[in-house]
Amino acid sequence: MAERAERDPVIERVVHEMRATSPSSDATIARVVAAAVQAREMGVLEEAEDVPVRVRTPRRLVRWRVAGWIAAAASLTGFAVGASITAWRDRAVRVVAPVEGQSVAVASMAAPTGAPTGAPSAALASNSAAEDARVVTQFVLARPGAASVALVGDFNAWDKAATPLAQEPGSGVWSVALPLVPGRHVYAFLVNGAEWVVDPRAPKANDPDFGVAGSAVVVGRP
Amino acid sequence: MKYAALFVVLGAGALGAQDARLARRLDAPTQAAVLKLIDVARSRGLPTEPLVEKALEGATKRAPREAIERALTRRMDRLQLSRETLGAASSDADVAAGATALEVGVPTDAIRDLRAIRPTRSVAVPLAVLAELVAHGVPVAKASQMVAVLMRRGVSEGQLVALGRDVQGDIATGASPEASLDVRTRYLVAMLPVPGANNGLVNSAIPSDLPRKP
Repeated sequence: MAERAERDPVIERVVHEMRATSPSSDATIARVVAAAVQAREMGVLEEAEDVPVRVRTPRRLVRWRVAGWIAAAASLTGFAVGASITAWRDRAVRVVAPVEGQSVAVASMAAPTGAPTGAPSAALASNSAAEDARVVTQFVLARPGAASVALVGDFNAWDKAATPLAQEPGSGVWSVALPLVPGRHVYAFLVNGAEWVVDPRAPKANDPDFGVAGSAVVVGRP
Repeated sequence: MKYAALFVVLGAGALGAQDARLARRLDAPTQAAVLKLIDVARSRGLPTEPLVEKALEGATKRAPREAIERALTRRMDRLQLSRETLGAASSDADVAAGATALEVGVPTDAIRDLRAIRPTRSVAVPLAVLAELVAHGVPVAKASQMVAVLMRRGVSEGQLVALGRDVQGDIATGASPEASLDVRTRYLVAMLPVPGANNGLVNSAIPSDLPRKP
């Protein structure tokens, strides 16, 4: 059975694609999984409990012989896969800690750190794994007295709950670091859940569509 | 057959994830309008994620349905033009970056030039840097020329991003956008290895393809 599985072209393709990811991916995935487990134990991810996490393998799907069942089941299973991928990304964003060795400074802003991480689904979902290699980027806002600060942007579906910033105790300096796909990203801070704040140290991103300007950051691999 | 099933699974998964996000954040009429536009984009072979992002941005900014529809329609048109300009084989990231460049006024000729320099590699970051330069006041012809020169010299993405950040810093402190880009580009070109050389030398003279000071 194991030998047959090893020869399975689908599995071989998956293994091949996973091997094509950056060398740091395994360590990154392990780190993210460990952090997610820790966060789950702390109850941080409880709101995501309704996300289905059990995913059927494509190999099992192809054993089904009735064509109509394949289409219906594929849609349902695909939804689960997509939801799981989304959940994985959300969790990765939520549990990412500031990059080790980076100092948190009021003067710093979205600064690419040059530490690429791998996205577990990227190798299968993209024509080029290299194009999806992410760059950890730090966002910092000085906001003494704020009860909460969150980051919203095109990288987290503009979701107010997706990326909270952590405050350096007693300092009023809030920060978060997260892996971003290279390119231009538009974002803003939400203070106390309602106040829209552009990054004072980043270029302004005009918004001709909705009239609410944000900030822009361009991320590139070193 | 196995690959077909896998692709069906992954495609349906992405669609399902998109729908779930839209369903959570948009009211029913807006969601229906957005899904209709996304279907149009999909039928044209355009990336749909930029449309989903725009719709969710509109939701976060409490935009009315009509504004979200207009925004998505404009973005879809730019995605279409971007793909036509960059080529049908371009990645979704490149197409999206081209659309953003078009939005700030970068002409299709300039986008086509960058693609010609990098026919098989991603141009998402060069396009993003170019878009930011133009958005912050650098004349589009100058910005396009400089980015193209640097790409031909083998500049890294990180160097391009740093250049854009430096120019924006200069502009914020009162520098002329054009003069800042001139100065920063000359320095960067001088730091790049001499084309064709393998001896660690750097350019010591102003390259002939850079505009000279009067």
